[in-house]
Amino acid sequence: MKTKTEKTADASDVILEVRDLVQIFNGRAVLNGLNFKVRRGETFIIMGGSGCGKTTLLRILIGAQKPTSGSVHLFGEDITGLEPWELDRVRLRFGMNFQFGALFQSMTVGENIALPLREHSRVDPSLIEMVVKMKLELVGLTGFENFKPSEISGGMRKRVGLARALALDPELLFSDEPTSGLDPVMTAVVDQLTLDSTRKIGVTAVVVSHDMTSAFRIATRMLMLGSGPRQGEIVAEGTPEEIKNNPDPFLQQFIRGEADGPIPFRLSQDDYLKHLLGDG
Amino acid sequence: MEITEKADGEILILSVSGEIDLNQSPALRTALRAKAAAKTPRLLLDFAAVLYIDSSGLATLIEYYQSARAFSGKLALCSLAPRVRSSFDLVRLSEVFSIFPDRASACQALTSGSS
Repeated sequence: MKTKTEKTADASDVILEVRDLVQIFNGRAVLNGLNFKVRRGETFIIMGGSGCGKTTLLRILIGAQKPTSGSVHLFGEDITGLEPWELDRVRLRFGMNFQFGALFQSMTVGENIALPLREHSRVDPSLIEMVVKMKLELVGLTGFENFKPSEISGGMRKRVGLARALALDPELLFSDEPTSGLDPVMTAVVDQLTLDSTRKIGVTAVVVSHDMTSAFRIATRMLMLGSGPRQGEIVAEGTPEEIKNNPDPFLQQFIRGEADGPIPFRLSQDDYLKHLLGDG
Repeated sequence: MEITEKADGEILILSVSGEIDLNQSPALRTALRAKAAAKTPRLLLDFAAVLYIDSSGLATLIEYYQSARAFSGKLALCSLAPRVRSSFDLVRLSEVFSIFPDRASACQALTSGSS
């Protein structure tokens, strides 16, 4: 196995690869033959409208859900066929920042952040306490270790979730909508943390987001998933500059946040009537 | 990770090499606790060959820093690679530790008592 330094030394190194990924729910292909790669040190943004399958994709990437077909290779290993105990070994190398924090309500903020260290390392409890304080400092919550999740705001809970995801200093950080619900200052703080982690420490970030300002601020590459008539396909993939200059009307409507365009808000009249009258 | 020890006058220099991560920080902790137990008056950690340090490694250094304060021991670090230095900067530990660009300036500060 390579050392942590060797892992970060080669920028062309692929850390995540998705091959021919298909996910079908109720006969509908939510993800339909996706292929993409994420290289070490990148901040890779996955974007797309509501219901396009972003969160489903993320669940498959972290091994929380098996796809209908295709494979996900993390750190060079196909995780789609791994047994749960084998997956645990891979999970030690990445952190997952859930959309709403996913904190244990019965534990304090500090206990939540300490949990991965207590579960997966032999670090002395007194040192874990210091690590917790450093992680809280990272997310701007110094002094909140003894609060319960119910005693802090939703935005603060999100940041605690991020601190917990970083507890084991992962090589790869997955984030699901890390800035949704945060005020502009805290959005900038979380963006800066992502930038610092990737550019200065060499962490790779895969971020699901529909916050375009934040996405363009932190991305090294971006991928847009389609919805409606283009459900399940990759609409575009490229650097932020390439995405901005891509003339695809579907993509342009999304990044400009326009109501009118090819992204369907409602069914066509024919489809609506078929659905309403039950002859579809 | 490897640690080598050398005395330079009144200063004890620990040269650390490799990666200080969850697996390796216990060895650094053992070495630093021995120096704390011996009440080492002036300790320099030469990080020129340190490739990576994680949070458990940083916490290990904080623990020694706290111990050394109790016996008025001096601690300095030197020759941090940019990526290692960033790990300190991100959690504002550069404001806590005395960090020097090279061994000579660190030794001078330790001798003069300005660290």
